[in-house]
Amino acid sequence: MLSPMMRLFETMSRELRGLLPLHGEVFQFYCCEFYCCGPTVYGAAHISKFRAFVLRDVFRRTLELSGFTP
Amino acid sequence: MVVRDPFTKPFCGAEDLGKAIPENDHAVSVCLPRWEDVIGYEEGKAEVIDAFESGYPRFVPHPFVAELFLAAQEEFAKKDEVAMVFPSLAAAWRCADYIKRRCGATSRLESYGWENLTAVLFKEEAFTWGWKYWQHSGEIVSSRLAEAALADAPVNDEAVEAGKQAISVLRQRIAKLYHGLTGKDVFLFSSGMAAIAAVHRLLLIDKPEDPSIQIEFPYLDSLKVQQEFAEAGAADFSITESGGVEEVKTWFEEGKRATAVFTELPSNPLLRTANLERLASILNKKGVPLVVDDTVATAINTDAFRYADVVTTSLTKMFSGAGDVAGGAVVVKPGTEFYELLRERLPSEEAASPLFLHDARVLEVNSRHFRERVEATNENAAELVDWLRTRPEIKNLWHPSSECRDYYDQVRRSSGGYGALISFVIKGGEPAARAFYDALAISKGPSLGTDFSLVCPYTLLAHYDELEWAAKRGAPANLLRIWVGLEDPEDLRGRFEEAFGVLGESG
Repeated sequence: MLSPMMRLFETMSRELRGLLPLHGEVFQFYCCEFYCCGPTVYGAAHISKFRAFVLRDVFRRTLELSGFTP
Repeated sequence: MVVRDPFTKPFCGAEDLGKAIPENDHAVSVCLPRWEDVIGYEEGKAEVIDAFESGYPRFVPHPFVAELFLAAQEEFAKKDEVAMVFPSLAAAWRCADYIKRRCGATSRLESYGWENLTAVLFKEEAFTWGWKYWQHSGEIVSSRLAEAALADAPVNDEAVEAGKQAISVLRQRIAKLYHGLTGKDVFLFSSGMAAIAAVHRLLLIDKPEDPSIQIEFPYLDSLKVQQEFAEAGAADFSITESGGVEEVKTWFEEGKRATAVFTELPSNPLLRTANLERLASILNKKGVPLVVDDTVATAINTDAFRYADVVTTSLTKMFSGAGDVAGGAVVVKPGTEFYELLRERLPSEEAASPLFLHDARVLEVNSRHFRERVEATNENAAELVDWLRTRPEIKNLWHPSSECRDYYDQVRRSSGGYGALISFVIKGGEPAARAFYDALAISKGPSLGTDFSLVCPYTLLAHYDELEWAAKRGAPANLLRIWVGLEDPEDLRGRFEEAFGVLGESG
């Protein structure tokens, strides 16, 4: 089922925000582009660093399941 | 165009400065034909560095690798940032952590977007430390990997299949060199140094506060890995009287601990061998692994596993012979106390700095006649050693046939020889060494183990910033190191005669 109205929690404003269309007023072709910056290294890698990788992977999968094209 | 044959046209004249040895896009050596070129390289002189077509992959960024760094920089860098690219996130993270610890600079990591390549981005002033990590750790992106990534096309299925097949053949080929091993006991890395660094890192997990022990003065980075990547560093026992036995005994009698004992079979460049039999007996009781690098002797001449728990080897050298591919291996021996632990941990290490599929294919072809090449170079070197010992120009000569021979013989196979690496110093100090080197018509550049002979002023090249330190460990600044290749020994003697002749002329 296509569900372009996914909402995400924005930590800066601490509000739930809907995804904004990139091309005009509507989600054309249900495409979504997103960029995840890599880690900044302050010390040796440890298990909690996986949070960022897991989160972005879950996000991508959720978008795909919602009908977005990667 | 006909590719230059280093057997008949060695890379040794002034006009050859910077030429790739051999003439190949993926060559691992570079021509430094004159003494002053070696010094120029060490001092970073543009007229030398800019002439480089290639270089030893851990020391000189290959043109494809430099291009990859630049591509990552253009894609990800913010103002004042530069980029390096590593084969995996784990390797990139380790580099960033090293930079942070060494100079305080923080780095950002970005997925390069091709296989597991990961870019490390940091301020330009931290590059020295990033490059040091590349050099010491050996976690390199090979020239073939960089070339493929720059092409930005996936490796096709056929090439992937061929690469996997080559990896499998290589594992079995290396395992067969030792008794009772299978391909599952062999782990392949992007360089020999990556193999050593991986073993060091794994053994450090359980004893992070303990130093390692180095017996006999080793190759530059074999020691740097231990000193730079462990808080406790390394206990450095160079030039031991007892093959390291007394030093190690005393170490443990004083209640000290160690992660592992590292040594080379034989050491590079002094070609000395530790008393592996006695060391193993002490270390077994202490539960400390003995890690032996058999690159110089090769597994054809010796069986390090008579006493070692782990063997590392650089496949870049004699195993390949062609000088056009880098690689390394860690081999573990079933039945030792550390076998299960290492077998469990090594796959993730291997995945972090793997042997690239295209490199594996080249290495597989190159290594088909490993045994025959080792046997032939053994004989050539033995002849040259015998002859050089009669020459009045020679002041000192090191070869396993004389250095610590009893210890070498502990692990020498019944059909094995003493290898083809020779170090020597000629009488007359630096002026004579310089004149002789400049006149010698043998390919001149870093590395060893090539099918063709290769000579370099080793101490200058490896220890230019620490010549006194190296001299105290027995390696004088004027030491020359030659790898004896497959050329006709008479031909090689003739080339030496000519260079000795220059000394005669100069008085």
